[in-house]
Amino acid sequence: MPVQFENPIWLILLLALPPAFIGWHRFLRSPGVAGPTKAVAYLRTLVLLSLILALAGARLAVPQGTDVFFVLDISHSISAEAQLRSMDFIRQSAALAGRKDRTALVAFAAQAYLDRPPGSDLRQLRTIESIPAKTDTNLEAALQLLLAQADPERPTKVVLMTDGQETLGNAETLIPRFQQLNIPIDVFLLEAHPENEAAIEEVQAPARTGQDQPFQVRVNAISTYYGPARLRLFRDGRLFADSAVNLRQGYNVFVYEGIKEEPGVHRFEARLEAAADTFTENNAGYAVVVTEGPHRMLFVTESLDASQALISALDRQGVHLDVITPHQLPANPTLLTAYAAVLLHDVSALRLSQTQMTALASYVRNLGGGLLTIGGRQSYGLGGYMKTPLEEALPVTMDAPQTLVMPSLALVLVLDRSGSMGERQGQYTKLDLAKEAVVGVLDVLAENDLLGVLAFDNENIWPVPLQPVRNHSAIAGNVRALSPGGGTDLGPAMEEAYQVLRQAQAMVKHLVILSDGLSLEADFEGLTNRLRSAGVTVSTVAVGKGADVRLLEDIARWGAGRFHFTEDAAAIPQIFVGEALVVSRPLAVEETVVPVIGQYASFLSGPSLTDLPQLDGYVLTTPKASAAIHIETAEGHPLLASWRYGLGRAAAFTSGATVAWASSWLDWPGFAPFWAQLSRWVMRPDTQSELKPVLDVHAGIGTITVDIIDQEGRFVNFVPLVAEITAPDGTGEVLPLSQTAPGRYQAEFRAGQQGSWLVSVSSPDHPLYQTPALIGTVLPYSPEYRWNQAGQSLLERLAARTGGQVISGPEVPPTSRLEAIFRHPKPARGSVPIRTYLLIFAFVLFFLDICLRYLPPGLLISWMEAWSRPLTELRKKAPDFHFRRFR
Amino acid sequence: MSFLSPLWILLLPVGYLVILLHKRHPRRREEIVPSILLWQRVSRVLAEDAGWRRLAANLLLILQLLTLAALMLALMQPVFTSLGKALRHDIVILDTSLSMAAADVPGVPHRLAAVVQKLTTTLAGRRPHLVTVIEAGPLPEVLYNGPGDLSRLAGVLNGVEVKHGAPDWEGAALLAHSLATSQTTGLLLATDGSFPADELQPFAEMFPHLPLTPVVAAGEGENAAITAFSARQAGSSLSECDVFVRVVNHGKSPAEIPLVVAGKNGVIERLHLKLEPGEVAQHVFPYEFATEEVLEARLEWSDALPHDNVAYLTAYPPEPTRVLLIGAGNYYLEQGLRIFPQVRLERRLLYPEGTSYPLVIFDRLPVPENFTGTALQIVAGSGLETVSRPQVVRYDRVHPVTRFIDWSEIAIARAFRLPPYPGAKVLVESEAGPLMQLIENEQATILQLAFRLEDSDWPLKVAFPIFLSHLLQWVHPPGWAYVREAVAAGEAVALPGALKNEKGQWTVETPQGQKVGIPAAAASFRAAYSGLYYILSGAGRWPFAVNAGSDREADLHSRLVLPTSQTGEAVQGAAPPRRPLWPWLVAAAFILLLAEGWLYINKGRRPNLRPTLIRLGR
Repeated sequence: MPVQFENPIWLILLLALPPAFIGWHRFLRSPGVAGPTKAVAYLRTLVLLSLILALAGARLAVPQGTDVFFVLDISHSISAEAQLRSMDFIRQSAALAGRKDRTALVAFAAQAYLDRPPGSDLRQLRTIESIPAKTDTNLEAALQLLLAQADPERPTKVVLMTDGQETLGNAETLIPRFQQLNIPIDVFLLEAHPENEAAIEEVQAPARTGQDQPFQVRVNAISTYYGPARLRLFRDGRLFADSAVNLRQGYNVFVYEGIKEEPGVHRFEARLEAAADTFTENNAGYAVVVTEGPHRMLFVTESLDASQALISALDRQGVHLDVITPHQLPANPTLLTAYAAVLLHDVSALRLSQTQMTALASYVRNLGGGLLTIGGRQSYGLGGYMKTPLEEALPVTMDAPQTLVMPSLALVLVLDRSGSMGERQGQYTKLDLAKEAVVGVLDVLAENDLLGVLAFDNENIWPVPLQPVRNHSAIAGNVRALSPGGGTDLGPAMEEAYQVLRQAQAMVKHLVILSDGLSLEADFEGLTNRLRSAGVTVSTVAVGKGADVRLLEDIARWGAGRFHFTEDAAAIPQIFVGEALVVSRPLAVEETVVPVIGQYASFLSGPSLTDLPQLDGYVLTTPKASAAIHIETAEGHPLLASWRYGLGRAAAFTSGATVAWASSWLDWPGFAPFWAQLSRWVMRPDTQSELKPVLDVHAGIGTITVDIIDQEGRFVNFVPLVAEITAPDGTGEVLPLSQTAPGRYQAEFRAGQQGSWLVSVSSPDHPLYQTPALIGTVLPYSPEYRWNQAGQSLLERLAARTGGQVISGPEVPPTSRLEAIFRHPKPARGSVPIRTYLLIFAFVLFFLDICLRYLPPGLLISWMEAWSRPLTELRKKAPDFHFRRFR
Repeated sequence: MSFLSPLWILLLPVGYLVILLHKRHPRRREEIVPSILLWQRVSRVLAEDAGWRRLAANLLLILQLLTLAALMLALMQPVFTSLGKALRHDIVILDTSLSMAAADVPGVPHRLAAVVQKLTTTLAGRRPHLVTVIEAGPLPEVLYNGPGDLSRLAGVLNGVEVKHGAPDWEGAALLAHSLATSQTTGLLLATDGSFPADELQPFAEMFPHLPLTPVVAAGEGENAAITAFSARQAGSSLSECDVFVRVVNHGKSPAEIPLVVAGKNGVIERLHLKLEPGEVAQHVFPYEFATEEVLEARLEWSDALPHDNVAYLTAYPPEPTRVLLIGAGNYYLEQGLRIFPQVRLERRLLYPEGTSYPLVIFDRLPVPENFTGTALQIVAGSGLETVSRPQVVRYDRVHPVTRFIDWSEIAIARAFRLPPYPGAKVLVESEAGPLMQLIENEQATILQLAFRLEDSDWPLKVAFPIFLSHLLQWVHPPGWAYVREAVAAGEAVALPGALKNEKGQWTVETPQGQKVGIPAAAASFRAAYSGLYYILSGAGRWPFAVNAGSDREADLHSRLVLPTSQTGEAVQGAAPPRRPLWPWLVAAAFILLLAEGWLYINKGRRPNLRPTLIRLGR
């Protein structure tokens, strides 16, 4: 609508116009009234109409100018030069404003102020009068102030002059309102940092460490220039390191390695002093490290002598060890939780019971413990790991690589089926276990391998004559049909086995004898020598204390095989499988190999670990699908593999750490660091408190969250937890945590101080959670004193999403671009009051009204004739004669 | 009195011209007659003929001059300044938090109504010239900013509703600060005072010289509230949960409160709680959610604040999250994603156009230019500069994808220097540039990774599956958990990109059935009222609950303590008020015109009747 009225009620006076006009018109039509005078009626009516419209507050729709708000960032992150440049930009832009355009200035930092209201003349802008706190940048507050001040009836634009590094608020949340109100935001980018500035970006250190566990502290600094500086690191308030450094432009990372701490909370503070530095507020960084009690490792070895070098190396590196023999390994996973990891150094699975291995696997899988196995001639496939819980936990299988050529094998198992083998051990008899062992061997052998099973007591029977291993089910069925018999006469059994093996066509021939008792006498040495001459190796297994251990041991020695003794019949299967493996395929490579680094891992970092010395042997294994191969041979056989097994980590080193296979390593400077770093890497990180608090400080509010889950994975509820909060200045506060969800407890507190915050969470009344859990966090200096590219991207988003543009910066752009500031993409029509014009109109018309009545008509006519030809007609109509009234 | 446009006084000489017109003797027309014997007297008159005559008292002239004067003065815009009375601008901070809904003030429905009554009375006594009313609820906003017209103010104040959350005092202080002027002389706090003392500190900081003037209305009502109602997966399947409910008695006397938890199939738990004043009762019970379900916990009793006697918990069978992996295959990604049972992983060598997946992973392949949706891109590296062993120097601790992960512990052997992308958000940064950056536009959201997984030990760390779970939750929350955690009024609910409608926006249905459109730029929704909400999408309705109960608002006791850091020096008003007078003058001119016209007609003066000059002659 072209005309609007502010007070339309006055329009009721229009009702007076018609009678007024009619009255005048009649009067002026009477004879004697000069022609031009008749126009008075119209003039008078127009005057009255103008006054009525003026009273009604008439407004006329006209094209509007644009209101441009210059929003200027004057926080500390903006250099003085940038501020001067932006003022120059404002002046130059304001000079290009159109007649109908208006300009305003909003100055902001932590708060926002309307420095110059809309309509101000900014062409001579010299100073900013507002004084907000400059330690923060609250872009949201500035834009919100602008929205409150903007005239909704006028097109509005924003020119935002800032570096975009908002430290308070979130300007992007206002984008929808700017879109809704059709207010584009143009951006004039200011520099994010002064010319000469060096700052500490962050101090990084692990939140938790173990006692004497070396860790590193990383100081990340950032600089705008190349130059010298001094970097000091304080530990718990005492100077720890003081060094002269050379800063380069951009990020600089300084690493302090090998720091060890006693249990407790430790504060690190880094201070940077640079020659050319604008702000000192950002020259300090903090870190908090909570050092827990010692992380201990359980070192399991069969030979202390052989492991001495490794034990010493680990000890020198601060790894706390408890050294035990295999049979001392706890069979209860709970008992293992006292340790952060278990290391098996060349330990044969035959030295561990099934329950021990099951406990060890559970400790890793369910309790998050670490497992590290180091090879040797008693380990992995050589040590009977196949098909054991140990193999399940490790990142490698005991299968030899498929690429190897397997020799043909003839294997005869001689089983004692005397009456004593019918004794029960647990649920099964010894013979049952032996039979299952035979069945287990079937999986190890290749199809073309020959297997025979000879059972003896006083007689010999062949439940499985020597035959290719093709029909597993038939073979297993025959074996399982065995039952205990009578006495123990081993000699004839060996003779019969000799006769069969002598004729067998196989590259490898092997005999395994299992017995639990004393045999009748025979020439066992002669028999064994004959077997040897036929190319047959002989191994023996003695079960239980009743077995003729000495005889069986001798036979194994004569037969160039292995002797196994076990009191646990349950170990028989793995012994048999191990035997089958040993003879069925090559399981070890005993030649010089050069280790090759594969998948990178943090434990491979360090200056002394760049070149790994050669090794003299390793056990052949096959990595599991999800294992990471960190070190391998040139042929791709794994030397060091790791993976995550349940909650814990497991690593397998298939070579050794003794002179047998690692002679070059013993003299290598990286020997100790390598094993120590690898050991710590597999360790479970926390062995102390059951509580796992998380501390987050954001926007001045600290939030403590604790989740409590028991070892069975169930939520622990209704625990009265208390948090003791220590502020950077040492003041304390005690807060109860409220339970907010199953197993979850939370509390909030105000965290405005810069520095390190410490929180200790415990439940003094709960027996399980009395040990406090410590956690610390750092609230660094105000982000106002940082600079990064995030600000620019924020501004680009503000411009793009509101229909604005990046005008560019930091230099003032050319005039052609500045003119665009006042062009609104959707110019609107506004309305302006026309009262003044109406009053002038009324004034002029009324004066003309008076003139028409008081000036001679002829004079008027002659004036009008001079201007308009049609008016000559009026002359003709002018009366010739007028009588004057005489008194 | 003063004049805003005094230059119009230059029209004053026009009045003099009018006077001259009146003084001017009317010119006689010459007429030749043979004799003047019959007009003896005319000769005498003729002799007396002169150009100007003496000005005689003339009412018409006076009216005409007055009319012109009135018009001239109106043009000069006179304003009347009331001396001795300073202009006053009052800012009112109106508490609309949940506690204001307490029905414990006699004679009014709730505390807010009582406060409004008191406020109206206060303002009537203060009579400010300008008033700003700011609502201090979970989402502060300006309700009124204009003249101190009490009738208009009353209309605005009576239309304010209580919100179901805690007040955002800082936001309200910010708004007040942005609207304060040099004429602001009053800062009124209309509240019931039931909040911690230190929450008003922002006012002390932003208005150090303007103390808060309290307008308090509170009752002595009793209140018990459900302050927590949540569930977490407790079994092997996502639907087996433990449900937790917490009730507090903030009354002054012991209470026996029945608590009922009901679900789709009726009552699940019924408890009879006996609570001393200030005592908390907590209860946990197992529950298996069968299908989409809303659990309601309700206190079956009557107190001053019923809004926090009910809480909701929404459960929804998680939708399968379809993830498309484009590339030759990535073992770590495939294994990592397969641990999530709701993920449906598909592999393709090339990106099939026209398909839609919540997440597409481009493994060492470029993202097509016309790609729409959300993607994780592991850069191929070709053509990019290689960076050896980059160190993480900064990472975003707040972003849903990167939070709760210590990125500084991840060892990276090799990364690529990503090309800068305008508007990209760097989530993880090394000294050599971004390691992970987020590119968002109207068309697509792309998370770029600057290194290959096998070039780091990240896949071997717990941080990797945590990152994947964060990513999947962020991209496709409906595929995540059975139970949606309820939020408090005013808290932001992140709107998942997968639930946008065909216009690229979200539609949220409120508990009242109203449908609200959320633009793409918002990406979150804040509700001021408690109840059940739904995000409507083509795939169905995705529910979430907003619960009112909280420890903070449940305690109705008034404990108002004003900040002490304010100096208390009153601010004097600057400019006195001005009343424009031009309407009076224009009205006077109107009347004068009418009067002048009437007088002119009735007097019969015919100044334009030209007198005749008689001259003798042949």
